[in-house]
Amino acid sequence: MSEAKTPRPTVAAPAPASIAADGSPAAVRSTAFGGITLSWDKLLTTVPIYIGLIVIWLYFDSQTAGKFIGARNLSEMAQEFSYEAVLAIGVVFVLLLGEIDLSLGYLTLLSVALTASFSALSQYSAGVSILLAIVICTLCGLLQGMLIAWVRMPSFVVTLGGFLIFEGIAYHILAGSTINVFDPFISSIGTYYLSNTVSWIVAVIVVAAYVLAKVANYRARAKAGLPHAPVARTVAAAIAIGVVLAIIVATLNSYRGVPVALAILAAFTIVFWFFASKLQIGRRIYAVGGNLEAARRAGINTTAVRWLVFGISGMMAGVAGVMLVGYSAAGSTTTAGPDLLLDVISIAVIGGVSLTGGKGTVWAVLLGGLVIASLDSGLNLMATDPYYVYVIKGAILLAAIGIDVIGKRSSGFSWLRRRTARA
Amino acid sequence: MQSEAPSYSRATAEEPLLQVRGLVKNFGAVEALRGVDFEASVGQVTALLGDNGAGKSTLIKCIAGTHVPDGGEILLGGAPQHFRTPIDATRAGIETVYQDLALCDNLDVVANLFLGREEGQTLIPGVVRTLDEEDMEKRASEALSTLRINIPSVRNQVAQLSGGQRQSIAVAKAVLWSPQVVILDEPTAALGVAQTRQVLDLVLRLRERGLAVIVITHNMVDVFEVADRASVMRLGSRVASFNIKEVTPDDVVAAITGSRSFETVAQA
Ligand SMILES: Nc1ncnc2c1ncn2[C@@H]1O[C@H](COP(=O)(O)OP(=O)(O)OP(=O)(O)O)[C@@H](O)[C@H]1O
Ligand SMILES: [Mg+2]
Repeated sequence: MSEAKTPRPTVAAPAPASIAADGSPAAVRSTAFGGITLSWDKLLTTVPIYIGLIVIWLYFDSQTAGKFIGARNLSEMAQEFSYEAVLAIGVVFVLLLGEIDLSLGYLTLLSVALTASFSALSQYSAGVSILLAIVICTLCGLLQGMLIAWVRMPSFVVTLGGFLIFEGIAYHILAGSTINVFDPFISSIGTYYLSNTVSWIVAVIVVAAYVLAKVANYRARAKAGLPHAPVARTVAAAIAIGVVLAIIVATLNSYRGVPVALAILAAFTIVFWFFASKLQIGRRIYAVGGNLEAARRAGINTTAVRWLVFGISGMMAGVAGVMLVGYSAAGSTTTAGPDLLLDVISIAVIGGVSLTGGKGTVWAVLLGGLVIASLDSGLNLMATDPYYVYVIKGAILLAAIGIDVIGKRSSGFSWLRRRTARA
Repeated sequence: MQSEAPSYSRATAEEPLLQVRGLVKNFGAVEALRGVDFEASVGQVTALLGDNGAGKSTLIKCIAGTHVPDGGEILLGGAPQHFRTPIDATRAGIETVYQDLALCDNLDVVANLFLGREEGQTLIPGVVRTLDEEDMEKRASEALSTLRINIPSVRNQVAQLSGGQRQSIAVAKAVLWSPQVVILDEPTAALGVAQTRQVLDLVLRLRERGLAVIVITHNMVDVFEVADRASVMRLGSRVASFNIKEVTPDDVVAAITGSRSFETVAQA
C-alpha cells in the first residue's frame, strides 16, 4: 500500500486515544461506525426485511404445525446454511467494490473436491487438507483479481471464465463419483455442537467485550474532548445484545447445542467486520468502492485493494467448501454449484449491501443468511416443488435489489429536502 | 484594435513561491501548452483564466503532478521540481481541489478529510493497528472550525451535504496537510449565490493564512472579488498577466477573447 503520509498536520495532534470504536455526537440522528455511517434512511430500508422475516417465520410455522420455529429446525438451519453466510462475507467485499464474482459457486465446489480428495484419497491430515484447500482457493481468487485489478479486465468476464475453469477442475478431481470423507475433525466442523457451558461462556465473553470496547471508546472520546453517544443508548444496546445471544444459546442448547458451523460463521463475521471498519485497509476498500478516482488521487493503491478483495473472496470460497465437506462428510459434483452464487448474492443484498459499491457492512451476512436459510428450510419442510423454490428465490433476489435501488432514490430525495431546507 | 492598453506590473517585489517557465505539453499532435510561464506568490490569490481549451487544466495538471510536462520547468521556492505522480506534488506541498471534488460520498467527513492518510493507533503492538477515529475526528473538527466551515456534524456522510459544503470539505481536505500552494479548479462552477459566497470567503481565508492560492474560473465576478493577480491563457500560451487592481473586467475579457493584444509581463 503506497503511503502519501506527510508529517505536517495543520493542528497539533491531541493525546493518542486507546482504542478505535464507533460513536457519533448525540446531536446527529445517525449511528456512525467509524467512517461508515449507518444512516436513518438505511435503517428504514432494513426494517421491511425484519418485518418480512417475521412474516415468513410465522407463515412457515403455521404451515408446518409449529415445526418451523422449533429448536430442532433452527439448529438444523444453522448447521446447514452457515457455510452460505460465510461465503457471503467474501461477496460483501466484492460488492463493496461494485464488482461481481460469478465464479464463487464452482470455486466452492473446487474447495469441496480438494478437501475431500486430500483427506480421503491422499490421506493427508485434516489440518493439511483444510489448509491446502483454502490456500489454493485463495490463490484462485488472487489470480482472478490479478486479471481484474492489473490487466483491468471486467470482473464479470474474468469470473465467468473462472466459473468454467473451476467447474472443469472440480469435476475432473471428483471424476463423477462421490468421495466419502471419514476424517473425524473435518466432520466435526459440520456436524458437532459446542457444549452448553462453552456456549454460555462465549456469549458472556462477547457481551463483556462489547461493554469493554464501549468503555474504552467513551474514555478515548472524553480524552479527545469529543461528544459521545448517550450512555443510556449504549447500555440498551449491550442489554439487547445480551438478550439476543441468550435467546439464541438457550434455544439451541435445548436441542443439541450451538452448532460448530454457526460458531465459525460468528467468528468470521466478527473478524471481517473488524477488518472492514476498524482497520486502514478496510476504510480503503470502502473508499475504492465509493469513488475509485478519489481513492487513487488520495494516493491509495487501488490496484492492490481490488486484488486483495478478490483474494478474500477466493479464501471464503475455500472455507465454505471445507464447511460443506464437514457437513456432508463427502464431496460430489452436486455438493455445490452455481445455485449457491444466487443464494450468496441474495444474502448480501438482503442484508443491505448495495450492488453499486461502497455501501453495506459485513453484518449483512447474518440478516441475509437468516432470510435465505429460513426460506430454504421452510419451503423444504412444506415439501414445495424444488422448481418453485428457484422461482421464489429469484423473485426474492429481484425484490431485494429493488428495495436497494428505491432506497437509494428516496435517500436522494431526502438529500434534496435537506438542501432546500438549509437554503 | 485599441491602442491604449493599461500598464501592467508585477504586484509583489519578492520572488513568487511557484514559478513555471516555458512549460510545454503535447498530446500527440495537440500542442496543449506551448511554453507557458506562470507564477503564484504566497498570500495571494492568482486567477488562471482563458477560454475553453486554452490549456488551463493541462497547466495545473502539470503543476499537480497528474501530467508530466514535455519541456520547461516548475520551480517551488526557487528549486526545480520533477513531479511524476500527484503524490510527488503533494509531498512538495502542492494540493489540488479538482472540479469533480474527489470525495467519497459513502464515507463521512472525517474519513474523507483523512482519505489515504488515515491515522492509526496500536492495538496489538507489531500486529494490529486500528484507525484512530478520535484523533482524526478531533483534528477534522478543529480544521473545519479554523476555516469557519459549518456542517451539522463531521460524522455526516458527504452524500448528505450541500454542494457548497462539499466544495468546502474538498478545500479543507487539501489544506489539512498545510500545503504551500493550493489549486482550485472552477470551485464555484456548480454553486448558487449563497454557496458561491461561502466558497469565495474560504478562498480569502486561505490567502490570509499565507498560502499561494491558484483559482481557475470562468466567472469574472469571482475574479474581481478574490483575486490579486490574473494570468490569461489562450491557445496554449499565456497572453497576459495582470494586477487585478489595475484593470477592469472589460480588459480581462478582451484578453481572454483575444479582441485586444496585450504585452505579456513575463520578466521580473
Ligand atoms: N488528455 C488529453 N489528451 C488529448 N488532448 C488533450 C488532453 N487534455 C487536454 N487536451 C487538449 O489540450 C487542450 C487544452 O485543454 P485544457 O483541458 O487544458 O483546456 P482548459 O483551458 O482547461 O479548458 P476548459 O475551460 O474547457 O476546462 C485542448 O485542445 C484539449 O483538447
Ligand atoms: Mg479545464
